[in-house]
Amino acid sequence: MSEPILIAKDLRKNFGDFEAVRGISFSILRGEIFSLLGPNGAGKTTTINMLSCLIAPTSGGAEIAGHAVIEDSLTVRRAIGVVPQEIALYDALSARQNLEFWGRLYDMNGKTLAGRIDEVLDQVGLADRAKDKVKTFSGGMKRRINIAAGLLHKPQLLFMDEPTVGIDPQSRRRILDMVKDLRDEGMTILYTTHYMEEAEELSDRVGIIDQGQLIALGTQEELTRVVGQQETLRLHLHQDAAVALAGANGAGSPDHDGGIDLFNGVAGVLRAIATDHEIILNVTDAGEALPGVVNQANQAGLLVRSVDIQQPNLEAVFLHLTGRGLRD
Amino acid sequence: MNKILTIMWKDVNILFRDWAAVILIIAGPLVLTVGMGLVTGSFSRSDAAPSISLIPVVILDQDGGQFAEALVELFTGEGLNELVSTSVSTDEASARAQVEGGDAAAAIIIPPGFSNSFVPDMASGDLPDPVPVEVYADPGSPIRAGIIRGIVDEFAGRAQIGVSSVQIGMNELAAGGLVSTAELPSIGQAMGGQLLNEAGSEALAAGSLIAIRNESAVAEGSDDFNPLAYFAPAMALLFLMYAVTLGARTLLAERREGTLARMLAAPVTSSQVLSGKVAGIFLGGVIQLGVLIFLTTILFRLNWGNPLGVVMLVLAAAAAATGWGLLIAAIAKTPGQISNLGMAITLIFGILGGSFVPLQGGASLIDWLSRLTPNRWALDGFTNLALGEGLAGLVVPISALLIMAVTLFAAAAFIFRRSQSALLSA
Repeated sequence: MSEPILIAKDLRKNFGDFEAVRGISFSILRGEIFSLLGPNGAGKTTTINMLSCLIAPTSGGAEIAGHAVIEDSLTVRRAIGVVPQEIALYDALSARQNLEFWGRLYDMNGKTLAGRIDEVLDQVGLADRAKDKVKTFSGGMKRRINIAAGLLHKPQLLFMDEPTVGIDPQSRRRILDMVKDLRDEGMTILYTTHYMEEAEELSDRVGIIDQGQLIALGTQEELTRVVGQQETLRLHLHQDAAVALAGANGAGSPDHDGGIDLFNGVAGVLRAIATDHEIILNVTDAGEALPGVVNQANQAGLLVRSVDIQQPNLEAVFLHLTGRGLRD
Repeated sequence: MNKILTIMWKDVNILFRDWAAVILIIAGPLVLTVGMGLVTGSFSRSDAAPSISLIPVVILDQDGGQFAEALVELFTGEGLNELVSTSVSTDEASARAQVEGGDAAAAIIIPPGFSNSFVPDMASGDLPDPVPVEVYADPGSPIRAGIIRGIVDEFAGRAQIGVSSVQIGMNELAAGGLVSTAELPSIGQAMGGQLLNEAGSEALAAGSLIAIRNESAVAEGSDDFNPLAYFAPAMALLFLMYAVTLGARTLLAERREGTLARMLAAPVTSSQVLSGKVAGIFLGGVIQLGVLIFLTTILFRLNWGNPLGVVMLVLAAAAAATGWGLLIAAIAKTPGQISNLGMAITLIFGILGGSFVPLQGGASLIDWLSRLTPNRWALDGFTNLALGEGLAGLVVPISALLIMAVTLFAAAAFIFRRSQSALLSA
């Protein structure tokens, strides 16, 4: 069994009266992709900021590669690479100049740095744009250079904070493939996302985080066992779910967590929430619940475009544990 | 150190890749200097070209001797009437009050015994103890006071040389056996009388002294003070403040764009990051001033004065301006606030510091406020250099600029230290 490269113990962070992270403990094994999955504002970035020595925890601590994050932060920072959620690059400089700058901060220089820059530019597929200013790049290309800057010094542990936010599907596909390639090359990755599909595709293990707490942790199989045989029904609507419900017969507005009571009493329905253009229902058996759900939706006057039935997944786990959807 | 230089060079690189910024901080002051030159007729170099306004001086003769009269005559005569405006006082308290009230740049107080201090003892040939003329100067007008002090010193020096000539002449006569020891007192008296007679005094007053002051009071090779020697540094300093504001803006821009956090996630200390940023702002200011000095030297044939002094002053001015830039960055919450605050401070400092209109000195509120600006001290220094003063003329301006820089750096560091978490989380 692989040894842990990161051990976090009861990490807490308060900003004034607000508890952003409320006692998180977990470990990451060498060579695995560990995802922190949770909605926006769950505490993912604050956790990464504490682990990458950017902010001090209010209490608790962590060790990375055998070094305490607080007491030995310079050593820890040499061992980690960080791909922040923002595009942390200089628009006025070329891709190569950006990478030269970040490489020098990791004590790289000369031919070593030049050679490594060529490698990472190849890795992210932008070798032919090395001399172009970053401001001429598309969002997806910037994201890739953002990742390249975190890879330059071959970190033992790479933190990737929502690296696919706001980019086109093609660029996202490329980044996800790149992350898997990095894992295959032996790099350990802590990946945060609020996209359930990404966590499912990439992760060896997943920690589900919500409101500053780690509410579940394990492999995907271990987590979905939590919801047993529960399935998920997705009703895709023609309009925003909250708007549709407001105009529907006998349907109240969603509560602050998105929960709705329109389907209460329908056979097999455990819980229902509204999010974006969807109503997501946690059901014991999709086949049994589907007729009643569709009938109830029709009676309420909801215009349902399509219906999906999903096997137990991480979103169902999150819904089961929190009563809310991941994208709330 | 390498990381500090890496961050510094990156910032300078980015600043000078921004063509809009380069045009503003380099072309802006050049265009305004040309405009000022055209307005003041500096390029025509005609007789009508305006020069620095008359220096108000008050002179008080408590001695009444011939040397004192000669000094009064020097200041009230025609020879200096294009440089000074002299009023004669009979009351010391009143003379000092005029300086303290800003009505005069300096009071020249000739104490009793001044003239006699130049007359050697007829028997021994020794001079009495010197009785110096007091120049009671307005510290708020160091350039003008310096000019007055220089004239008085020159007068005293000339008188001293004359007296020494008499002494040497008497010694030569005695050593050569041309006259007897008994005859020396009467011969010395005759030679001294020659020095002190009216004609000699007038020559002293109207001749060489005035010529000497004229030479030292202008940029080398010109016949009067070139206003461009004032307006070129004035405009350069005005835009120096803007340049450091642009640099300071990057501190908060890096926070907003996440590059600051990324730097701090690398094996770099926060002190190294801040030092690199400060060095970048400083170097940007130095380059801007350096380029402007080079261009005005080439384009306008402007003589900035002692090169070493210019370099020292540029470094000190850039350091003080950087201090202000840092303080603005420490106080502001967003890059936009820095831009707005920086533009306001640039203009206010420009007005207070004499970038638009030369300061008149005195003890006014504006004069006191001007001392808070790097513009004023650096401009004093550059004017001193243009007036031909050496490094001694930079002691006060450079000291003031360095004190300002250290104080502002400390204040900014204190504020940054208190808000480091906010720096990352904002």
